[in-house]
Amino acid sequence: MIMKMKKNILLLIVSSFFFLFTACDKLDSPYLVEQGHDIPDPEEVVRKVLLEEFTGHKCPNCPKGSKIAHDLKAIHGEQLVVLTIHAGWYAQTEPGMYSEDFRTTAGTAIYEDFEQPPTPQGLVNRAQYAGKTVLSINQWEPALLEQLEMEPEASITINVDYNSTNREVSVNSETIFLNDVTGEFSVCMFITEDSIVSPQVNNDPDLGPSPDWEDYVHEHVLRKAITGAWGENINPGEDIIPEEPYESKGSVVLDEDWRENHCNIVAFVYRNDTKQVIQAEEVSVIGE
Amino acid sequence: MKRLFVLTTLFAFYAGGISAQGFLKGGQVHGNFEIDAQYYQPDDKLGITDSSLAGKVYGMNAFGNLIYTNGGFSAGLRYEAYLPPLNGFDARYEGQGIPYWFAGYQGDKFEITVGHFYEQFGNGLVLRSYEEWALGYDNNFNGARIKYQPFDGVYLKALAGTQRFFWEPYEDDNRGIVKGFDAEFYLNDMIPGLREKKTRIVLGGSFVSKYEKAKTKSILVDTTRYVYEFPENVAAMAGRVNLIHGGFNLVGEYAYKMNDPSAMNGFIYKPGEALFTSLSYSQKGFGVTLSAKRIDNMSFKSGILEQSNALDINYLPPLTKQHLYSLPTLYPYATQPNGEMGVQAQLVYTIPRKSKIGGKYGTKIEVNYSKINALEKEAVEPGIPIDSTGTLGYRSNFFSFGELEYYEDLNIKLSRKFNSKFKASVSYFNMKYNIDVIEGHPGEPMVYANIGVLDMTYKLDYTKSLRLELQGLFTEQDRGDWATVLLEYNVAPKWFFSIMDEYNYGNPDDDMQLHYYNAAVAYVLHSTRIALSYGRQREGLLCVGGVCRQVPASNGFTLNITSSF
Repeated sequence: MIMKMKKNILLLIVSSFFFLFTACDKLDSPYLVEQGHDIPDPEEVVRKVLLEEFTGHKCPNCPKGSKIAHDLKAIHGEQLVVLTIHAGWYAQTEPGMYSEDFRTTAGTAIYEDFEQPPTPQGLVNRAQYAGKTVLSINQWEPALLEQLEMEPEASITINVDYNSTNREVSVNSETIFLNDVTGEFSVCMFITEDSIVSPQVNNDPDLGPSPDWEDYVHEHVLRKAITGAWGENINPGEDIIPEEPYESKGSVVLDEDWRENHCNIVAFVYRNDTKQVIQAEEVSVIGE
Repeated sequence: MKRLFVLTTLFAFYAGGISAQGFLKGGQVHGNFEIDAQYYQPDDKLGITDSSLAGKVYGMNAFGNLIYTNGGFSAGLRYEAYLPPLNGFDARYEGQGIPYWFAGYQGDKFEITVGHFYEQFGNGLVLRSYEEWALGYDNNFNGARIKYQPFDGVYLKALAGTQRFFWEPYEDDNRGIVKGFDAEFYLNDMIPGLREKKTRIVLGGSFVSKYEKAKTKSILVDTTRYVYEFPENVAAMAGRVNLIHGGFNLVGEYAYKMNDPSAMNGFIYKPGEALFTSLSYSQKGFGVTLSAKRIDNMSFKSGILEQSNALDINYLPPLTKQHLYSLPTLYPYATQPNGEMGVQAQLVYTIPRKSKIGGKYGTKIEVNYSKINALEKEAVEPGIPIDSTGTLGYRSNFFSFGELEYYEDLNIKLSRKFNSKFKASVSYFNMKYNIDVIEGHPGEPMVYANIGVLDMTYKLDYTKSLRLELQGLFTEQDRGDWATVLLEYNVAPKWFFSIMDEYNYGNPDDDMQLHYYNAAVAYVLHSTRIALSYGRQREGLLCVGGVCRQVPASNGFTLNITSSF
């Protein structure tokens, strides 16, 4: 009886070792498999629109603008990419409650290029709506709907590697044009941060505390341009070849105050002549 | 699953008045609690302003363990709250809940646990899950474990589970599933002829397999896109031996891990290896230990993309002394899982009491030396740079030390009790610290530091004592020279007072020649200890067992409450 039990145990041990030993995939070189280029199926590409919201933490009307951006995002989901740019007089800092500086070199450059509009105003794909490019907050929704009705012209794929040890984010985006297009294009890659709790001036008591909303939550805040304010020209002096990937690379080290789990990469491609955005994309820094 | 556990437990308690009473009869409940809270203040000198605090003026980490035992049955849970996490802890901990609960039964030869559990195979080279509150580290398994002792001297363990990842539940293949098996054989207990032998022999073996749904990851080389082939199943195995003969103790473990490309190793496919050996001898008043280890590509996580202190399946024991005095802890060693070669020697000798040199109470001498270098690496093939992603990475001679030094530490401590009231110790540390690699400060030069510590305790009476620590750290690199004074006043067993100042008087930046002062008071009431301190915390690494976390500079109040029952 005891011998039989010992035999069974031995069998159990051997079979357990065998089971675990075989639970392994041993790979042989080459470990990288050439894929060529993934050509996106135009039917599957979704048009994504960029809303650039100019704002400032001392801007009393800006919570209204951010509320509209937030509501639009809730409705349109991934088809709307919001980039909140703190710039202008209302974004200046002052000692005390408003000492946090959300301004960025790139954000200020974009704001100045669009002639320093009063805040809150914004750009929807930097396209014209009702004869204007810089749109008031009530024009964002109709302009967005107009843009969403258009066929997608390109796809953007963003690959992010985040090194949590040195907090470096390496970004690689691949833009593929679906059809023949003319002209030169640039790809911009920005880093944004969500859910930043910091005071905001507010003149609408219906939205929140007024005049100082101390625990205001700032969303989609532009933190840094990875490839500069105007990105990188992907086809200087050449025609775009449809279905060919155009790669843009860059890296940035997250400031110690930026929380990686709230940071996103925003990439978009725009025409150099009109600055009109034709496609946008957004992914989380640490992955979904 | 958690709900199922709670319902099952409630059912066990309330399935009927009589059976519930029967279940509770003879049962015992134990537990312990800890609350760590900090109130942060702006400190211009440390660069902490209202805006950098961003409204986060306080943090709190807290936990409570409750364990019910009744005969062989046990069940328990741990509640944790990070509201919000203290500075320096991973922000992903923010929130509260029950990340650990279990139920188990232990019979004479058999033990089963379902729910969450901690486990270690051998030295941990292929599997160890544990929790370290000070680090914010917890890689517990959630699954099932069986331990079985089929006959004398044979101990078997098998487990399967997923690991904790902050508050994120396991779903949709968001991390791997770990299975493991371990067998340990105490030969002297197994073989009747060896029972009375002076030499004790213990052999062990482990197998661990991780299943993780393959991720899709691609890389562009020039204009061509390549996709990584990832193994969905990664196995690791280890064999170990422990020989004990009289005062001698030999421990050795070798581990091997199959191809495991990951973000940690830059997606190379080289198998991993680790060797840990230790030979010690001890007798009354004398002990010596010689240890050596090799770590080669042995990060083993249940998340292929994870790079932080999370989802570690294994543990790589350090071969450096963990210092307790504050200035030597400025330069702690963090294990380098991608590769290191290390040796360590420790000697403890007590000069006998009532001898000429040893004095009335004897004098204790402790000497410790450790040295850790990089691996020696060669290219896999001519033309392919070392560590190239998507390749085997490198070749390395198993017994060769690389030229790059990571860490070297020689420390000596002499301790002596002079009379019934006064005792003192003096320590010297000589350190070489590769701050570039260990702390990730690219380009910073190697730190060479000399440290001296004088530690004196004077008993005022039966319950009261004073302790004075004087420390000095001298280096030309990093933040320059430091001096520390610490004075403690103990009124046993209830009260404790201390004041401390760490002065970075040699900082090359005049504005950073700061005093890091701290005052603390603690009170003990039965099994509860309440401590309150106020002061500055210097920036640095906090390491426990070679695993480290970054501690940011801070200023403010700290409250610590621990209690057990």
